[in-house]
Parts: sequence; C-alpha cells; structure tokens
Amino acid sequence: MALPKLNDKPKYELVIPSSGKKVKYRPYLVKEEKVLMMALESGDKNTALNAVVDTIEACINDPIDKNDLSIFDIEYMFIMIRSKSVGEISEVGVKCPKCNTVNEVSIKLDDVKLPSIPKDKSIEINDTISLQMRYPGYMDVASLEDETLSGTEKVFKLIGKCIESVTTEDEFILIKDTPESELEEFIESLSSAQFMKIKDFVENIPTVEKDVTFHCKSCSEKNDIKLKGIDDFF
Amino acid sequence: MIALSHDNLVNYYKTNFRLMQEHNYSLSEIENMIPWEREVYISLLIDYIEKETERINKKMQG
Repeated sequence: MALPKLNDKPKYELVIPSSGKKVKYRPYLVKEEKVLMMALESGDKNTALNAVVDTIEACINDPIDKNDLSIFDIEYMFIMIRSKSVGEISEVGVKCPKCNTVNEVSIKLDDVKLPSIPKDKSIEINDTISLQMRYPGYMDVASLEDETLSGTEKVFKLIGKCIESVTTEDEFILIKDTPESELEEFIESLSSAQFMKIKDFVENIPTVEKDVTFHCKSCSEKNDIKLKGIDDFF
Repeated sequence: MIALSHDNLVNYYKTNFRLMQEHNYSLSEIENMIPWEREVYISLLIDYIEKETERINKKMQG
C-alpha cells in the first residue's frame, strides 16, 4: 500500500461567518469538480446543495459539523473554496437597470464580503412572550426542497425552522422538543403585526454580497449595483 | 446553481479524453490536479499545438 501524500496541496484560511471560527481549507480537485458538475447538471436542487456541502466538508481541514452550517456559511465558504480552485476572478452578466442590456463584469471573489450577522436574534411578540430566532441550516433548506409544498407553505415551514425557542413569563420552550402541529398552531395564532416581525427576520437572512460599479456598454449609464446571494456571483 | 461550475460534463470528458489519448496524461494525473492547473496545462498545450502547426506549415511551404 502506498504511503499518504502530505502537503501536496496549498492551504488557505477562512472564517466561518456564523461561528467566527477560523478554519484551513484546500482547493477542490478536478475529480471533485466532476462530482459537482454531475450534481449540478442533474437539475435537482437538493442533489446540487448536497454536493456543494460535501465538497466544502472534503476541502476543510479542521473538523466541522455540516449540520451546524447556516445557508450563508455554505455560500461564503463555497465562494472562497471555488476562488482558489477555479480562479479568483469571476465574469458575471449584470443587467443594466436602465436599458436591460447584460454587461460582463469582472468580480474578484476574494473581495466578497462576509455577511454581517446581527448578534441579537430575539423578537418581542408581546409584553410577556418573546422568540429566540436562529438562521436556517442547510439541512432545513434541503428538507424544504424535498416536500411538494406551495410557496406560502414553504415560507410557513421556514419560519417554523427559524424559531429556536419561545420564552413566556414562566416557561422556556425549545421548539425542537415541540410537536410540529403545535408549532403550526402557534404560528397561525400570531397577529398580522407579530407575523410580519418574524417574516422580516426570515426575509433578511444574511447573505454574501459585493458592490460593483460598471458603465453600461449600450447606454453608457454608470451603475452601482449590489450583488447578493451565491447565484449573483457566477 | 448550474452556473457555479465553470465547465460542463460533455466538455470535461471530451477534454480529458484528448489529454489522455493525444498527450499521454493519465486519468489520475488529470483528476488530481486543481481545476485552474488543468486549465493552465490545456492553454499551454493549445499554444504548443498552434506553434507546431505554424512551424510545420512553414516547413512545407519552404
């Protein structure tokens, strides 16, 4: 049996946005890119997401639990790993807001900003009840893709997955120990204003972002655009 | 998500096949490269082939 090969790939460092933990990583290899391509070309979102997460797990040298990773951790870590594997510059097509012409804009992936993570994730429902929220993990998002739910039902499910605990005057209830039907009943009993507070949290889940400036090749308009979310970067 | 990949499977297999068939790379050598490394070798090979073609053409004309 051949001995293992040591130190044959470069190592880089990144910070996991949700935990602030510094980890070492290596670029992915051609054979790992092949698995990614197979998953991405399958057209199934869950298969693609699992392949991305498996690639991240394989490339990170330090021990990490993929179930602890938020969806924005996955986005940020994959962008960093991909930049060292394929190239630090990505050419993206950005539409000019004025004339709708698609312009090729070069982005330095290393400059993609870490999402800013608010420390306080509690929501006051009324004077006596408050919710402690959490950002959805990749498993939560993957489980939503599995179900044949309508858009509204998915939002309700996602909201349920973002509530970590409920604090009342005399009780602290962990949602993971609560039956799903009870949680659904709780969400449905919220007033419109209370529901909007939670919906606002879900709609503002941190995401990777970068400001780009370009002059449209067609109308010469100067545009300042914020790219948000992983799909905007490739 | 499809755009996350800079290549596609058809192109991937075609290029690997030519690297193995015409330029003596082994599949494990190719698969253990970093993707940008493979791109560098491919572009160096294209340069080399172009120069060789030019040299042969000149020789045939002369």
